[in-house]
Amino acid sequence: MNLSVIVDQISSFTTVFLGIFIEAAPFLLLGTVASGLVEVFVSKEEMARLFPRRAVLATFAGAVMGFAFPVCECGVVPLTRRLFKKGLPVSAGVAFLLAAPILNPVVLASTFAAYGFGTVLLARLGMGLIVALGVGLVFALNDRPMRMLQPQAFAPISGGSGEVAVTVAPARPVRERLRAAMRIAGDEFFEMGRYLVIGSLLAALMQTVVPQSALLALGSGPVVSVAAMQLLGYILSVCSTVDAFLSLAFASAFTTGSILGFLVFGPMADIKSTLMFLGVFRRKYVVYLIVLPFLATMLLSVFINLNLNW
Amino acid sequence: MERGLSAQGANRLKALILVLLAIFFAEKFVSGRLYYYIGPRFGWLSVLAVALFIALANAYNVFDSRGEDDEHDHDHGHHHDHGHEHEHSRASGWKLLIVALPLILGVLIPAKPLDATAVSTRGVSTQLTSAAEVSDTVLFTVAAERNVLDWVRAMSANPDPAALNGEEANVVGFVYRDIRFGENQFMVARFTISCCVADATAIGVVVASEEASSLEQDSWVRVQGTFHEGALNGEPMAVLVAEDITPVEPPEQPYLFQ
Repeated sequence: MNLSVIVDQISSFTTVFLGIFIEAAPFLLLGTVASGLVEVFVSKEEMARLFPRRAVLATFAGAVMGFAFPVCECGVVPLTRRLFKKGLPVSAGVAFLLAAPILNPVVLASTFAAYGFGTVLLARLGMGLIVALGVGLVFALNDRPMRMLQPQAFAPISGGSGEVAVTVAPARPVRERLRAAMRIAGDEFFEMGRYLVIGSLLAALMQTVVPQSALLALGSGPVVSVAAMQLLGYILSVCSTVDAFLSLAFASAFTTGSILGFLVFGPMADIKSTLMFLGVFRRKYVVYLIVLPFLATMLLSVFINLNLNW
Repeated sequence: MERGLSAQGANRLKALILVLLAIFFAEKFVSGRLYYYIGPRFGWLSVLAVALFIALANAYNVFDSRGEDDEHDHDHGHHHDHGHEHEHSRASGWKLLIVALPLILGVLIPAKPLDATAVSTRGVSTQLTSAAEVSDTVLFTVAAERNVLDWVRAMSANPDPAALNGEEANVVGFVYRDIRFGENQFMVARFTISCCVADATAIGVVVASEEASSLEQDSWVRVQGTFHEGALNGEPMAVLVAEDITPVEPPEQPYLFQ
């Protein structure tokens, strides 16, 4: 391998890395701004009043909350962490974390644009809801929910920037509270942004090392195709707001179940969001957060391939 | 950096990085190089990002040092002893720089769209069969002019290698070749992307020409010719028999968008 090949590879790697970062950064910014606004304008008491007590209901509420906060998988992580701080039950937070990147108006619109109104759109919504609820309820079984969260995840928001919000009591004018919200968003952008940057680096590296054709060569078997497409979704790390267009490229070569696997699991977990999860949850629970949705999605997708003629 | 950052220093660094990121995004947008990275339909998101970067940077009040210092000293007094604070700040200095990495790489490494090198290193779909399968699902997209993507679509809509016999074509793309190509064959190829370069896929039309071996890999050419039934590596497919091949400058917009 001569020098010019290496230089070309570094150049391609940089292009892919910047591509993922440039596409994701606006969504992360929106997520952190939403988080900052929640911190400043929503009190813990309001949160408790708004949320159902029963675990099942709370989990369901968490899963459909994406319609109120249209965020993708980059924005959802800081927002979820903020909502945890405001007292959101862990099961509801997990359901929100997994479902919001699918069950939200922007993703609905892009899926509709790509596939029209039909089985793919409806199945994507349904499967997203089922998987998020299922995994959320598994997390609800844990009797010490707060232990799933990284203690450090709360240091910076309950100390540092959080303090700004506390000093900005409701008495302060709206303009000041907005400034405080932006300040919190800024701190959070740096905190979450570093996971996004490292995740994008890893995703770009994977793409220069693992040939996409190796995955696609796995072909059209009802089970293997699902695993391949879910892995592809994990590695590609594209934003959930646009992944429907991307999946079109595989729609004819792959089984419908595997396309759905890509469209449901991809938004829930990918390389860059894994890095961001690590900033919020303890390592062990990050593994659960990836493996459980992977298996649940795969189960549903394989069932579709074997039993339904879509 | 060695001694860690004061709270004020960290805020200044954050504001600086945010402003630089805003400039970085704005420069990419204005120069058009943004579309080396993402599809044009998402360009407005980068404009939004510029506005948000500035809004966040503005919230750090870096020019109003009086209020800031008070607020932050107050914070740290409450939550950290001195040693701890020092560690925390030093760590955060480096962590802030991670976020500046896209800036650093973007400035140090010249911006370049993906090229033929990426076809081989990325291992994206270079097989015509899978490229064809890729595109027949997007047939409903109206093609304004017949570029490489349109032809690949046409081929996948009708896989009969004789279907395009006699059709005249005039396409621009980069030269791509690997071991499957015969001596008088090459591919005039383009990358297609749907959201960002992370999903780039190479597609191309096989060209038959006496000049094939003299064309350099990755150089941009315009190929005029007529389609005939042919084969690549024994596999029957429509092949563009070239009448004229002219070297051209790489187009400003190197990718085709699905």
